[in-house]
Amino acid sequence: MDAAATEPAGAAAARPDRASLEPLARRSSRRLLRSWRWEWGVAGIALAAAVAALWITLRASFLSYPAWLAVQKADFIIGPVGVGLYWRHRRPDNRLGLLLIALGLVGVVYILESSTVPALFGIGLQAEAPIYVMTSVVILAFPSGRLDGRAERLLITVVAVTLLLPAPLLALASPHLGPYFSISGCRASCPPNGLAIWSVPSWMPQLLDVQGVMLVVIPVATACLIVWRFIAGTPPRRRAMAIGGPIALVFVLTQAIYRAIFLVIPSGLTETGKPVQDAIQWIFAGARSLLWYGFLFALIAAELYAGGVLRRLVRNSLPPPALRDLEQMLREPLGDPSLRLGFWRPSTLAWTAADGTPFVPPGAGQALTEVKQDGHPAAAIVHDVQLAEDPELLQAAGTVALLALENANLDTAWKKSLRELADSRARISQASDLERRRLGRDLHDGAQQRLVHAIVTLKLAQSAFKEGDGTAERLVGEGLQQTERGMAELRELAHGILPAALTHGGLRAGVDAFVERVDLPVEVNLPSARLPAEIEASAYFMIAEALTNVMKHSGASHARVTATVDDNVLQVDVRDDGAGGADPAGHGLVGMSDRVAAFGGQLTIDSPADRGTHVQARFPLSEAGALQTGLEVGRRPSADARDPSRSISG
Amino acid sequence: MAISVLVVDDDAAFRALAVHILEGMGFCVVGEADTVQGAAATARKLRPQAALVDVVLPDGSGITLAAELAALPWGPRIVLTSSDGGAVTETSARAVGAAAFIAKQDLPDGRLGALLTGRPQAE
Repeated sequence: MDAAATEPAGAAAARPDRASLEPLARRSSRRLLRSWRWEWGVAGIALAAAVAALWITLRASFLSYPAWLAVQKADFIIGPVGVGLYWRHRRPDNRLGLLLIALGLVGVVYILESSTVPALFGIGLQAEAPIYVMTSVVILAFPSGRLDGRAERLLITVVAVTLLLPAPLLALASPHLGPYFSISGCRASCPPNGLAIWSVPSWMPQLLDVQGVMLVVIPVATACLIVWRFIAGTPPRRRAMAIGGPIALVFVLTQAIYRAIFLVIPSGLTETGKPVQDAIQWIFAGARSLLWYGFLFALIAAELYAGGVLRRLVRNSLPPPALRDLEQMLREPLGDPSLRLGFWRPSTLAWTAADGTPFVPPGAGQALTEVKQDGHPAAAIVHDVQLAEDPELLQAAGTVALLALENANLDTAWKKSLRELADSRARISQASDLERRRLGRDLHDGAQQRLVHAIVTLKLAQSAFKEGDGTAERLVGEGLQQTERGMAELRELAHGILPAALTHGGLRAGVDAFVERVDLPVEVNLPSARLPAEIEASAYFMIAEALTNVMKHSGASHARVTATVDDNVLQVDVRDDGAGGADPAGHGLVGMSDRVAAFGGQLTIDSPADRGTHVQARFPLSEAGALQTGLEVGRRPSADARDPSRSISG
Repeated sequence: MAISVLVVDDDAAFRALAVHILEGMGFCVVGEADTVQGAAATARKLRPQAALVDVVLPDGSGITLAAELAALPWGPRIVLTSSDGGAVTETSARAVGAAAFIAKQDLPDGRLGALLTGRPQAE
């Protein structure tokens, strides 16, 4: 996130690969596992150390407040480590987590300050300076995890110089070094500093004086810096500091006051002032212990805020907004008027803006965050650099963008299906219209002519009987012949509409009858079981049409018809060894496909050139398959249509 | 004097039947045709006094043919026919200049003679 946030303008990559967001649930489990092993180790150490701290400190009778100090020391370890681990988990790119963990681990050494062994006591004392420095770092690095400005870096340098530089000297030279921290004072006298091996240099008091003054200046400067960072901060930073800042501010100010008191009056306030001093001391100690919990609450607050924003965005997404309006919709809650969206188009392998124009890379002061779906980049958010400090919010926006994108894709797919359905229906009704006309014509040209002829002949025969010559017989014979021919034509016609063998005997009988009447050798392997009537008819006509095509176009010498019923699906295959190369978009095959689809089936054609043709139809045999044909045009299948009782609450 | 008749129908078997019926009625069948174009040409050549025209012909409509023939200078009488009994109404037949329409199955009944000559035929 850090690198991405300061991406310069004009860094035009065809595929921007900056910080990417994945919906929380999809974090790779391997990565999680790796970090968890390390983190469990740290947590274990912290826990053990905390227990040790409690045990050792409670037994340190030389301390003024052993119980409180025990709790504080345990908290110094568990608090930062715990919050640090959680912070690292939630914002892995943010270094504050690591800083907190480091702070906690330094606190482990601090336990030794409860020991009566002089050497250990001396070592424990040395932990104070690093803790002080680390605490200042953590306070100034919150919430971004790094020291952003020159002022912060300068202050930390001053802190380090003030405390860390003299520390070894003090350690090695002062036999009676008192703990700096307020309530870690000793009751009577502290154990001697076991590390003191040199004698006290003459300039030691002056050094301590300077240090004393710095220890007032530094907290005051820190307090000012905290306030300034808040005032000059970006909205995400302000939101975080509003929750995590106050405790730090209290801690720093009370520290300044406390130190100031002892600077002016070395022995501390007396009588009337003592309670005030005590109060300040306790507030000071308390604030220090609660410091990291402020950061924790800030993190939780950010997530809650993002959650609220997400809720609002999702609610505004019903009905689903167009991709164009989505940009507008996201700008307000994210507080970024320059926010832009980009979408990855797999069809053109390029990024496009929401309105279809080519994608413009981030400009000055902007960063790009990728939103992934199933591990592949699907959308990108170009946003102000500041928003990088609020990854939860970006994630919410990314989720909504993905939803809108998904919706847009579904919409397109649905409309396309609808168009295809309408086209298919038009073709079917056209085809049946043609069929009807053809029937009418066939009837007229065939059977009707024959029968009229028969009638006329027989009428003539009637008159001819009077004549007595052979004319009558001849005419009657002719009439009979015409009637028989008419009968045959009608039978042919009826067979073309719906063969008797099919209705009475089922699919196998129908196909056998068809095959008998054609010239081509056909191997038939069909189950004898009866199937629903409309499926049998649809399968029969598909087979008849396929075989007719074989005879008309393929020049095949042999064809094979098979069918299987498997798992509620009837699969019919017609194969031939002819020329192949059938065009699935040709009029006849499109019509066949339409008719099969009208019964919920699916037609596939495999016809490589010179390798024969294989036509396959699959028909569902269950209720659901039959119901598919009842899809209503003009109504979008939507969740609320299915379950109106389910309401979406805020 | 026998009236000359042209028979126009694309069904050869039926033409034979029609010829049989017409000659039995005393008409003289001077020619046969099975298309609109053929009929027009044959009519101009043979100049029949009447014609029996099937409504459905392979290269066009018998009705338009009837109009064409009726407009010929010597004004032949045109009778339209079809295996479909109700193919043409009397009014629409007369509208194109034909004399009448008769269903094919009614051809032997005798009415044909009167239609072609224009006066009731003596039985």
